[in-house]
Amino acid sequence: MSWCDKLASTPAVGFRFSPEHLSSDSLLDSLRPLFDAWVDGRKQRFSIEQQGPFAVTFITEDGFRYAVDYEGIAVEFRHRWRVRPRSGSLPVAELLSKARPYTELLDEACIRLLEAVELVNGPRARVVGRLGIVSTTAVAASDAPPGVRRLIEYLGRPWGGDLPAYTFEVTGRLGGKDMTSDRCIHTVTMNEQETSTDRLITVKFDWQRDYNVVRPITVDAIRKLVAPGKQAALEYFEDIAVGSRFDEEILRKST
Amino acid sequence: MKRSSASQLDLFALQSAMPTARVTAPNDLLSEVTELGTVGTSSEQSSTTSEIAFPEFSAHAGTPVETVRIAGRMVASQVSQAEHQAFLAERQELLDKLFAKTITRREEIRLEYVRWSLDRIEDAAHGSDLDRIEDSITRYEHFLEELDQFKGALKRASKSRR
Repeated sequence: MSWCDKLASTPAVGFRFSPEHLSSDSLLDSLRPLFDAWVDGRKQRFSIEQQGPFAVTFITEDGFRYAVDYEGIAVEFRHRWRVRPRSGSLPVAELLSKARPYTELLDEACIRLLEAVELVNGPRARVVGRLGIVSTTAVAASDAPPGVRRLIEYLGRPWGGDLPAYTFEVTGRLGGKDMTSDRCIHTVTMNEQETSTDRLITVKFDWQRDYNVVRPITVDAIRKLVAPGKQAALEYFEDIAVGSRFDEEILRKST
Repeated sequence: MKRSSASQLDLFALQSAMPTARVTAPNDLLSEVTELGTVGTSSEQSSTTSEIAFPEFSAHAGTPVETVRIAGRMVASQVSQAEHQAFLAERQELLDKLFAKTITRREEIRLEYVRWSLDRIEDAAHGSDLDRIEDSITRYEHFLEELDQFKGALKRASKSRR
């Protein structure tokens, strides 16, 4: 179990391919089996959010949001809710999506992604440029994993710590092997909340694996990229949460 | 793939739609104040109802932080017993090293993480009960404070009318 499970983090996963300009109508046509499956009686359990010339975005009622365009497919989980009116009383908010651990949601997002890739690419082979796995967490500063707190302290030191608000984004190279190179975009944001004693921060880790092979591959080969990518991403997220990377003593010894 | 996603928990919005808990004044207190207001406005004395600040008896409203905590607890409560035991065993092992003074800096940092993980698991099990108790105490204290202020305002108003 990952720390992301304990903080109700939400996942996103996606592939970037070589560009292929299919119209959004063609994309929707190829994804038709999904839409047909997301129907309850006569009621559609999904909605189209955006449709451009070569891109389409849609979301299922249980919170899986698909973004498909000429160079990529991504599936992201977002909590969804609706306000239900009540007789003679105030309306109540009802959560449509289920509260599930991050790793479970990530597994489902990966299955959904591969399903969409299979439908869009069909038997065609495409060059895979990148696999991305994202963890987004909203957490009170006091509840954040020690590594994240250490990272914030580390970056806030020039200003004496205790920053009133911040947004920082750091892209770190994580090395590579076997014709792949990994990196992670770390984004930490805290808005100014003068009245709140316990401040909420948003932590987003966007782990990416670039494939330096320009040979097109089929869906079966794409499928094999997901499991090692997921494992590497989760290991890195765990490493960040522990926080040895931001310890001055360890940093001094390694330089 | 998108480089950035605005996947902020839409759950935050939930809070704004939820009714916030409020402690309302008891009916007899309200009727007392209404009567006082009528007397005050009819009187030629300077004491008017507008000078008496009626307390709101407001409990503190839920915040996004609380909503996020609830969501985290719901998920963290699904941690398996095996994982909990594994964290406990790892903590014991690291503590043994700490007391034997053979612990490395990396292990110290790891110990902090293991403690945090165990805290999250325990918080999922007992945190909401403790929060509820704390919330009740805070609300009661706040209510008393506002009631005291209201009594003071009433005393001042009755003195100035004499």
